[in-house]
Amino acid sequence: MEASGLDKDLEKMFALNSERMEKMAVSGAVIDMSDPIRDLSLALHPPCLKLMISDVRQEIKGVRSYRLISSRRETGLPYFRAGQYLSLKAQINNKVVSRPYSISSAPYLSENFYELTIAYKEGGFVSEYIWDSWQPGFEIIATGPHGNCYYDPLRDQPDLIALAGGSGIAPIRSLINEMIKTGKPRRMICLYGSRDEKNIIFQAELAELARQHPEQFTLIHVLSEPTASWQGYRGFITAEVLQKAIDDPLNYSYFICGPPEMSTFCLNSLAKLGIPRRSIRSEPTATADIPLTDNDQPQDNRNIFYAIQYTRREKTGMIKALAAETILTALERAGLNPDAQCRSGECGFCRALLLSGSVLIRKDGDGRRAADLEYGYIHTCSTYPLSDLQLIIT
Amino acid sequence: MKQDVAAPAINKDEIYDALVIGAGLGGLSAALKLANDGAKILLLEKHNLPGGFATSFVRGRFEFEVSLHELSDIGSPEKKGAVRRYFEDELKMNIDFIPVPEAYHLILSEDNIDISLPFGIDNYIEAVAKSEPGCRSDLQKFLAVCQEVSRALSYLGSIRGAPDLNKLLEQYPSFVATAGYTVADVVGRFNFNSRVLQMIYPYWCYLGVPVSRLSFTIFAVMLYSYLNRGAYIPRLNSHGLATAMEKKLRELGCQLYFNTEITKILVEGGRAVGVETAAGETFKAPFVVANLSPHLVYGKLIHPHGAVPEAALKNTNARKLGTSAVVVYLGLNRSPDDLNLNSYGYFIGSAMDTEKAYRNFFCIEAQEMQAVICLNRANPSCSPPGTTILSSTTLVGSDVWKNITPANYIETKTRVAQGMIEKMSQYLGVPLDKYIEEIEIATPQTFHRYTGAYRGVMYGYEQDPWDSVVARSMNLHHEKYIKGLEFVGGFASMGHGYAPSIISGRIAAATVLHQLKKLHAGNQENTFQGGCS
Repeated sequence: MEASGLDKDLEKMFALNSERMEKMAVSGAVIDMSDPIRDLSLALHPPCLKLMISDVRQEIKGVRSYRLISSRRETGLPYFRAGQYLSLKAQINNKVVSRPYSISSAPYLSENFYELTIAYKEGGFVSEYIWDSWQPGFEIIATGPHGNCYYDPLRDQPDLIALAGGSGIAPIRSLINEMIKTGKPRRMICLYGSRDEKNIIFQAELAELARQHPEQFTLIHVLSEPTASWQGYRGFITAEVLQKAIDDPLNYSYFICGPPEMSTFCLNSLAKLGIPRRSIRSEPTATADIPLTDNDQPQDNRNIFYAIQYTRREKTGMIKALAAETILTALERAGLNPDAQCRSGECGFCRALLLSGSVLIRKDGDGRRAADLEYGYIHTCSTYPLSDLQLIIT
Repeated sequence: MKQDVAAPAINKDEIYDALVIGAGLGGLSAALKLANDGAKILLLEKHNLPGGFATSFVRGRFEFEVSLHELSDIGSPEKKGAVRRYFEDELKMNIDFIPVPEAYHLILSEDNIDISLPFGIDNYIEAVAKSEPGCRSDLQKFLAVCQEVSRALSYLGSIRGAPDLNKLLEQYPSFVATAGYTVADVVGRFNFNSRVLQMIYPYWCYLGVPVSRLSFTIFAVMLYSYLNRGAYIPRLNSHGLATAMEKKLRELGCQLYFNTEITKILVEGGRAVGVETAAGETFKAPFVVANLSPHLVYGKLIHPHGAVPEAALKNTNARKLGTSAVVVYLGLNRSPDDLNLNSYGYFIGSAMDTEKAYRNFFCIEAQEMQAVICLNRANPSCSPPGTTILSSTTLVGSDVWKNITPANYIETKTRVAQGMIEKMSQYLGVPLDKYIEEIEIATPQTFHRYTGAYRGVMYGYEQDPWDSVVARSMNLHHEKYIKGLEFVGGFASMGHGYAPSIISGRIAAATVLHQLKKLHAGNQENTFQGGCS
C-alpha cells in the first residue's frame, strides 16, 4: 500500500471528529417523527378493529351474513386479500373468546364494509352467542384481517378451481366477486358441495354471477342428499366428478374451503388426479370445529380434567382443563384473555412454553417453528392436555 | 474517569437493576450478560416472540429464515470467534451452528463474472488470482491491511477509555492509515483492476453504503472476519438462536414480558430511572438498556421530552438512517440439485457498481443487486426432501415506500417481487416461477410491523467515515446524553448486523455492570452480588 503519509492519515482520522461536530452543528434540533411506513402499516394492520353490525341477512336456515362497518365512521376498514379471516374477540360471560371467521365480502368493498357468513352450530358456544346478540348497532372487537389462504399470482395458475363445502363458500364468494371486479384471477370453476337444494348459500347471487360472466365464472353444484328431481352431480366432490367437470385438471390451482372431513376428502381426490402440492391451497380449519377422534385419544380419556399451572409475568395460577378441549380454550374459560388468531395451529400467536406434563398436538395443526419443537414451545390452540401441566404464557 | 454515575439513592421499590427494552439480539444479549453476572433484569418486548429481525415464519411445509444470511465471528469450535466465545465460554450456552460452505457466488452479467469464492484468506486470494492473474500480491497486502484493522478494532473494543495512540501507531499503523478514509480511497492505493474490485466489493451489501462513502474500517473488519473464520448459521434458524437466548434468560431468573410495548422512558435529573408501558404500568430501575434507535428514543420515548439535551437531537438528526429491504421468500418443490443451485449465497446483478446500486435503492422497481440465499446448501435438512428454500434480498430506502397506499400495497409488492424473481431466474438459470409452492414478500412495512423499527429501517445509521465505528467510539463518552441509558442493537456504536448486535449487548451490559458495582458500593448496599469484567 502506498502510504499517503502517516501524519496526514492521523490528521484525517482526527478530522472525523471535527467533521462530526460540523454535521451536528448544522442539524436541526427537532427530530421529525413522522413515519409514513408506520402509517401504512397501521392502515393495513391496525392492532385492533372496532366494528359495528350494520345489517343482518338470513341466507338460508341456520346461516346468516353480518355486515360490519367501522365503529369510527371516519375510517375505512383495512384492505385484505380474498380468503383472509377476522379473529373475533367475543366477550361472553365476562370472558374473551376468539374465533376466526372468513370474510365473505370482496376486498374491493373493504373501505365500506366486511361481511361474515356464519353457520349456526347447535351447542356452539360462540355461534349461539352470535345468534342471540348480534343485531344492527351491536359493537364488536376483532383483529386482522389475517391468513395466508389467498390467490397469489406469483405462485398460482391464472385459472382456479374452488372446492367449497357448506359455509366454506364464504371466502370463495369473496374471491369470485373480487375476480369479477378486477379480472384476477382470470377464471374460476367453483365446485360447491351442499347437502341439498335448500342448503345452498348465496345460491341466487352466485347463479346470477355465473350467468352474467360465463367466460370468468362457472358454478357446479354437488349435492350429497338432493331431492329426486336434482339434475346435477350427486354425492361428494370425487376425482370422478372433477374429471368430468374439468378438461385438464393439471392446468389449475385449487382452493379448498369447507368442513374438515370435506377438505380431507377433496385432498384425496386431488391426489388421485396427481395435482402437485404447489397447486393446492387449503383453508385451515379451526380446531374447535374438529372434535377429537378415537385415533387422537380414546373416548374415555376425553372427559378427564387436568390441572394447568400457568405463569404469566410473576403471577402463577391454577386452572382446570378438559382433555377434549384445547389448552387455549381452557385459558379462555379461565378468563385469562390469551392472544390467539387462527386457532388452527398455524399462526403461532398463542405460543406458550411447556415446562412439564404431556400433551397431544394435532398432526394437522402443528405449525410450529423447528426451534419451538426443540425447546418445548406449543401452540395452545392445537394442543390438548394429556396430564397435569406447567406452562409459561405471555 | 469523571464521575459518570450521579449516584441516585437506591430505591427500595426498585426490584430490578436494569430494564431492557426490546428482545432483539442486542437486548437479549445485554440481558443475558447482566443476568449471568447476577443483576436482576426485566426484559420488555412489544412482540410475542424474541429476536426482532432474528426470526422465522412457517408457510405450509417450509420455515423461512427472515433476515439472517450469515453470522460472522462464530468461527469453528477449534478457532472460536468472539460471538462463539461469548455464548459458549462466558454464558455457557450450547447453540448448534452450521458452517456456510463458501464466501459468495458472484454473478455479474455485464462483465461476465460468474465465480464462487471460498472462505479462508489464502483460498480466497488463490481463487481471485486464478481468475485475475496479477492481483495476488496486492490482494495479499490488502487483506493484511484488513487483518490489522480488525485487530486494532478488537484492541479498541477491549479497552475502557481513550486508546493509547502510540500503541496504535506502533502496532496497528494500517488502522491509523485508513481510519479516516472510505473504501474507495483505500482500494485506490492498490493496483486492482475493475474486475478484482467487483470481486472484493460484494459484502458492501451487508453495509448498504456505496464505496465512495463507506468507512473503510467497518468494511475491512467485515471482509476479514468472514474470510478468516468463515460464516455460520444456527441450525434452528435465527429464531432458534433467539429462543435459546430466551430460554437461558429464564434459567437465569430474568423476567421477560412479551406483548408489552414501552411508550415512555422516564428521565429525572438527566438520568434514566424507568419506563412506562402502553398499558400505563411503570417500572423503575437505575439503568435502562434500549434495543431501539436514537430516533425513537430521543424523538419520542424520553419523558419528559424536555429532558433530551439539544445536542442529542442534533446528533440524531445529523446521522443518516440506513436502508430497509424487500425480501422474497420462496419454498420451491424441487431439490437444489434439480434446480442446479450449487451455492449458498449469491450476489447477482448487472455489475458491482455500488453507486448505481445505491441510487437504485431509492426507486421502487428494478433493483440492480440481489443477495440470494439457498438455505439448504448450508442446512440440507431445513426443508423436506425434494424441496428448496430460496430467499432474495434487495436493499431499499424505506422512504421509497412512503407513497404506497393501502389500496396499492399488495399490487406494488407483488410487482416488485415478480421483477426480482424474473431477474433471479435469469441470473441463476432456472425458471423459478414453475416451482413456487410457497411465497411470501416482506417490505419495509412488514419489517416495521413486526419490529416497530422507525420507518422500517433494517440497517442502523450509515457508516460514512464521520459516523463510522471509529468516529462513534471516539465520541462515545461525550455523546452519552442521558445517564443510565445504554443503546444496543443495530443503532449502537458497533453498527448493524447479527454479530455486532450481539456484541453491542455484551458491551452495554459490561458498562452497566461496572456502574452498578459502583452504585451499590456507593450506597453501601450489598444486594448486588454480580462481578464484572
